[in-house]
Amino acid sequence: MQKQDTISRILCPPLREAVGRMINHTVYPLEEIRLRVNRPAMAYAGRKKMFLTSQGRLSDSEDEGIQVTSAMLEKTLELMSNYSLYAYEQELKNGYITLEGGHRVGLCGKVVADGDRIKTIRFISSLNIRIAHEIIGCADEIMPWIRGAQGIYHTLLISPPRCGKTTLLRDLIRQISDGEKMQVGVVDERSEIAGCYRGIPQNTVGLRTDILDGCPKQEGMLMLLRSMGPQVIAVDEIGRIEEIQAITTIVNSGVKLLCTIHGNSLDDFLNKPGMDELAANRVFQRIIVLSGRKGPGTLEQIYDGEKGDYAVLL
Amino acid sequence: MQFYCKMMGLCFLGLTSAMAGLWMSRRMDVRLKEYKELKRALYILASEIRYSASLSDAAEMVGKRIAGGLGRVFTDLSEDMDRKEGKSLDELWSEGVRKRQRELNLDEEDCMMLCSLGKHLAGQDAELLQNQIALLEQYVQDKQERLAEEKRTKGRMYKSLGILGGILIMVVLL
Repeated sequence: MQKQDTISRILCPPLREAVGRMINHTVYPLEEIRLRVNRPAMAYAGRKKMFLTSQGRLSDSEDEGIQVTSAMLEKTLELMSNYSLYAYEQELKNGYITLEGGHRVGLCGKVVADGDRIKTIRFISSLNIRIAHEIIGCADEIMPWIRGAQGIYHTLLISPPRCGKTTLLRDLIRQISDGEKMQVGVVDERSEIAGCYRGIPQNTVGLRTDILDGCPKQEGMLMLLRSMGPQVIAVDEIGRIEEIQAITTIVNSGVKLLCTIHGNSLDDFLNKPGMDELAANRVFQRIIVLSGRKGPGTLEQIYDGEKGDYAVLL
Repeated sequence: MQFYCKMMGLCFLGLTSAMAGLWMSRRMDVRLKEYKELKRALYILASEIRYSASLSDAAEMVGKRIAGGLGRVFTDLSEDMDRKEGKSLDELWSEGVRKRQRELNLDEEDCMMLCSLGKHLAGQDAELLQNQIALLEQYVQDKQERLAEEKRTKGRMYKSLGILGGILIMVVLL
């Protein structure tokens, strides 16, 4: 069963049939499905966001879209969580759940808070189903740049959202684990990299890769360092001040680091609050900037963090 | 020959009456045992839910640990959930209970109460779910106590009535 085929199983019957037909007929891979109560269902495929019809077509006309009812959303939630939404209590607090196959579902509704602490989301009214994509080999072009005489360089990927940084990071992890035969530890705070379901990675992340799923990055990096003896530690979307301390500890312990961060350019990284310490210490030996200019994962620049004022390598 | 036939018929009637009394008494024992098993099943289900197992896994666990029709209701539920055919949990649960109703030693009122559990199982709050299960456990506990009391008073009566009734029939017809 292909990854995107698994998605139709977690939808309620009218949507299931439409998505099933769409997957069979659309040339472009399905990227996203958006369901909002009392509004037509939308699908995102081939960089186009359109309304999903009951025949499984993508239409520009909202009148043709399947009208999503509250009951349809409830049933979809039941199926998604395998009738166990209570088991996703912790994830619901973060506003998303991860499904079998590594797909991510963002949720909106009535937030129940206790002071400034989110307890859960009730009366869920919107779902954003992001279909997990795995592109084996997408890091082929980058691998030679991050591999040096002394092994893998400390590497940072800078990219705006939806430009393929997690997909690229996943393939880098796979190649380092399988190709370089190094022990890789992954702190997958939002279950995006390995897409773990019940602790088992749903994406190909390599034979020598250990995953700490759903763990906060700063604690996870130190846990991996203490317990799993990794040669490389990979984390997605760094940015919090408290993560900097953990990164410094990792780098000083001789373990190589693979990170991603949101941004459009090297300057975005250098000007981010808290990143100045990492920049001043020249922690990252390779900095790779991605964009969506020619589609997700367009390689813009590669900088050498060790030389002068960040020499451009590519 | 006629005498022997008459005696055999009388013995048959007497035995049937005694058996009926014993069966009535035994049925109460079986029902009591079923309540005990149901309470155990609910306890296991609540424990599994407490440790965040999915409902499918929790039901599978109950099915493995509870014997008979009741265990099979939970096993069926677990399998139906994993099939993801698009039915709601309430539908799956009610259908499962009704399908196995003949294998359960429960009365109609108990089955209806058991069916109602399906409406609450799909909740998103684990605490609320456990409270619902606890409520059902309490109901089963009350029924169990009532039946135990009934058995104390009526169990012996059924047995005695059956045997004595059988003897009476034999004496009257002799």
